[in-house]
Amino acid sequence: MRHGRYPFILSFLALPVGLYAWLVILPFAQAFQISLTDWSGSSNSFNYIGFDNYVNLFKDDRFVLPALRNTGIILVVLPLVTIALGLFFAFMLNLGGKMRRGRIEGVRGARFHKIVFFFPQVLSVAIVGILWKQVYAPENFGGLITGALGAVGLPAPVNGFLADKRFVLAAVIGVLVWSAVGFYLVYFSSAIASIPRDLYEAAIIDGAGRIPMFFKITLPLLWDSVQTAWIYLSIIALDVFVLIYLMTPEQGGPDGASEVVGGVIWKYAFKHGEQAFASAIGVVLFFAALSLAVISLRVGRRERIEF
Amino acid sequence: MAIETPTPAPAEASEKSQARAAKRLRSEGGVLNLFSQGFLWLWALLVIIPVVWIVMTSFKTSREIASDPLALPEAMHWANYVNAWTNGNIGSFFLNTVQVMAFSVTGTMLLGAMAAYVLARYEFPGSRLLYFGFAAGMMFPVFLALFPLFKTLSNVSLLNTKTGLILVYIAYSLPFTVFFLTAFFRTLPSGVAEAAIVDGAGHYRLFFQVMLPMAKPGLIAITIFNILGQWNQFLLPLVLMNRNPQDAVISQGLANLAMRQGYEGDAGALFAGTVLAMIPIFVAYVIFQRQIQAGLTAGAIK
Amino acid sequence: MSNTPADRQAIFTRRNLFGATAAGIAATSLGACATSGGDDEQKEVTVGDDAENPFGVDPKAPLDVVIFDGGFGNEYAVAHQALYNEAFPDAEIEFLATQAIAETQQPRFAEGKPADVIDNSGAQQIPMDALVSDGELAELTPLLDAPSYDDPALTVRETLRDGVLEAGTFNGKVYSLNYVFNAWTIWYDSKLFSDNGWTPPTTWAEMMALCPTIKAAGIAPWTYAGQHPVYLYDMFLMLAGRHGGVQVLKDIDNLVADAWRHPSVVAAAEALHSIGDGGFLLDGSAGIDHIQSQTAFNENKAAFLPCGSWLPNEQKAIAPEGFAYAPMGVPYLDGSVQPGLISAGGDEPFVIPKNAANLPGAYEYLRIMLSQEGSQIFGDTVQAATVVKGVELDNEAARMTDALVSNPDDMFQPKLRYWYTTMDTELRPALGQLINAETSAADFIDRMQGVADETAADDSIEKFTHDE
Repeated sequence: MRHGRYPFILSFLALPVGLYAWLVILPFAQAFQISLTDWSGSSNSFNYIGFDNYVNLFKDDRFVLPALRNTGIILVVLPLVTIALGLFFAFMLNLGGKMRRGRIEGVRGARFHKIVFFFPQVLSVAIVGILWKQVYAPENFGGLITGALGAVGLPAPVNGFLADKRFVLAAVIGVLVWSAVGFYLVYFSSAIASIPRDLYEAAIIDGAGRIPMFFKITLPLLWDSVQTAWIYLSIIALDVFVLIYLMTPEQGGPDGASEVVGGVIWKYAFKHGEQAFASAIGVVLFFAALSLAVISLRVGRRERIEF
Repeated sequence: MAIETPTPAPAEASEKSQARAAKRLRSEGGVLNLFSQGFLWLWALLVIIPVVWIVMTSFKTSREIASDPLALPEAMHWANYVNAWTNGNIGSFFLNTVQVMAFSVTGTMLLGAMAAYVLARYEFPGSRLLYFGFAAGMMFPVFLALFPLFKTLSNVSLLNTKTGLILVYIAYSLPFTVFFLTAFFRTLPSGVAEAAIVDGAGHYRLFFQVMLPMAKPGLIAITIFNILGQWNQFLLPLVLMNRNPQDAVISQGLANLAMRQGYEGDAGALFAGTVLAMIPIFVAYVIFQRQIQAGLTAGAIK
Repeated sequence: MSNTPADRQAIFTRRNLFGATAAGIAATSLGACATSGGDDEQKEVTVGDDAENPFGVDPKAPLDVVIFDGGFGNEYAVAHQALYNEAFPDAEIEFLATQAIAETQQPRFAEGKPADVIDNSGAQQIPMDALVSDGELAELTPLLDAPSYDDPALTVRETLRDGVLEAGTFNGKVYSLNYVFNAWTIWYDSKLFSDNGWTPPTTWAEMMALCPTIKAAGIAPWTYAGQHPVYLYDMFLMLAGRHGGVQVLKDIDNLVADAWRHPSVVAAAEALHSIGDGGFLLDGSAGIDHIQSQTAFNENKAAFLPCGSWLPNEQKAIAPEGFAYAPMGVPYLDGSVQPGLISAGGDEPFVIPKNAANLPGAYEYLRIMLSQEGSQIFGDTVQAATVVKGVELDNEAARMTDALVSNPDDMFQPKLRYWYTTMDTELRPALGQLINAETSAADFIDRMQGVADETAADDSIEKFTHDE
């Protein structure tokens, strides 16, 4: 079978690698090149200025530093909450029901819930933005949540959730979780379904309750899936921008309270005419993300449980 | 689904202890059941209410939407749908998106599977470097590449063409696809492959006739990921397909509607367009949700 | 940004950096730019003797037009192109109407192949200061000096209203033609006021005295487009300018040291702060867009609304019967030296890139736009005031604008939003914070003076001044 090995490898790799190098790697290499210049983005000439952009971006406490902080928060909160909810719902749907003939079952209506929970995932982000902008609106202007809070006599932010510095970031994360949970619910459900039932039934006989069952059996066996989910959600967290662009005042406001790195790149590139500076931010973001992924893969590595 | 797969009850369990455990668990299950049902319904409402509300709003006049957003429509204002369909071009945007994605998703899966297969099952100098090269691509912020990409496509006259967009979609979906498919191909049992080799299968036959069918569940899962991802692409088409408004894809079209609403105040058409864009996805989702979930199931089993 | 073309390099032409590793692929992608800009021996357009075709348009040359597809739509542009094609039937016109001007056109500038005429407007316009300081735009002098379309005895410049060219003037050079004429003011519903027996206030003190009465009637005194604090811009600046005279605003634009600490500016900031502080803002204002604020205003949920002269026209479909729009100008502070000062001038900037392939055609296109017929089409189609003198328009916006700017001497357009993007992006949220009383007047002044000082000290930002 050694025969024709290299021609085969070459023939299979040529197209994907070529396309990837041409349309992904090379443009990014050029972006790095651009980050060393003072190019505005709307001209076809520039000067090389070395690493000035990189030095300056860490001094930019108006946009870049708050954006790094907010992106950092999203990076921690989004995967944590989404995975926790996804696992919880998946466990409930599959094993949260009654015990029947010595077997535990999912709750009633599991199929229905799966369909409903997953639905936001198929909505385009533009739709999600339009929808939630109104849900979060001020009470005077038909906000669903503010209206509901007001109806039961609870205090609600007077200008709605998106125009309030204290809530805007949480509100955006809420929408991200809302649209992602269904996917991870289905994903984790599938993983739970692949765990042999006898393991649970054995645990029942050993007298384990449902909560220890989750932590002793389900979670360890799902570790690979959780890790995959974590990486995928981290990538989403770093890319968050379109929602903020569609929902928040001044695309990152009020007064910069929901500024994220993606948005700052966009602002500098297209609104400030500082494409080179924007590229430098992007390059920093890339290396931050890369180190993060490497670290989380290293730390998350566990012994695989075979069953 | 898990709950539908019968598993034989453990035969060796003693009748007595099983009965005892079952009793305790039943009472615990009752409380938990109530709690979990409550929580699940709460979340379900969180999904259903906004969607129902947006459908309701799509039948209201702009004045009704502005003055009383929560009220039921006074009359079914179908004109919104006419406006969204004619001015918003939702139909043709949809068609454009489907046309592009038919090729881009197929291309992504084919090229992705080829690269992933080789990287997963053949050791050669530089294979790890290539693998990490692809994986690192997942972290690239797309913003960064917009300008150089514009130039690159323009140089080969692929700017503002569907072909160009398809190639770019493929290239930008490869990192994710290769990363996950490589993991998947690695888990496939080597016994079958060895048997096929003994039977005299070459590298190509082995891939297309043995490995690819075996990888089908994984391929389905990643295909779904890619469909969702490419369906939502916004920036790439905005910059790379900017010449001819009729060529816009659905996400551009909707954002366009949203912005027009800002300038012209036709909120009704915006919501109607949103609903129109939701319907085909909803139908496709309900029809294929078994396959989608099955695909993900396969993806989860490693 | 350096302005000496000699030490600049055309972008994407350098292959030495990555050439070694990626030579093969680089050949197609890093390849030299065919029309690489920077070559300053660019075809200059001069004004010839032929009044029919003063720029010497090649009748067969194609024309590439990009229109901002926002509130004005693009119907008027289609009509303008028909006029152009009447004069040059063989010219093929490529036309794009879009809202994403920056995302779609910036890469074309970068490539050195921009469109010929660009309506650089909307929320996603390309920052004018970047375009000007990069030297990407053609001066409009040939256009302004050319004989006008209808009367060869008059130049195009002479057919324009006063103050039109201001917004497009950078250090004395005109780089954009702002095609619609707008004025900013404060609106109220005169029917509501007469029904309640309220007198529309002219001074700030009168206004503040009336606010509790309005509030007692169950109406919030003020609302504004909270998501776009740019709507507060002119209200704030006119408060300061009316109080201290127009020079106060010129000093701000000119980045004069401590311009923001001028007592008139401080007084204006305190005044704005007092609206939120007194609880005179409609609940939720900070969270709404302009359409929502205008609708709330139409429903008499709020008594005063800062907006432009286009408001009655924009709200036609939504305003209830009997709603009577009336402008009252920004209520001026006690001791104001120029109480009639009004922010008015051109808006909707049309630019011609210096590297446009068909420069003469682009100039001619603008000349056609500025003809009586072209302006008439625009005014009638989009229901707005035109920048050309003597066009009879039957629309509300045009009448309102004319009424507001009765005295051209009191007309002034603050420039910092065109000249310094960094200051613009700082002022917007800062004003939002101020009117909601989430920041004090003193902090607001410190913040704006801070960004003004930074801008003044930053050598990479090209400076512009009002000519004295």
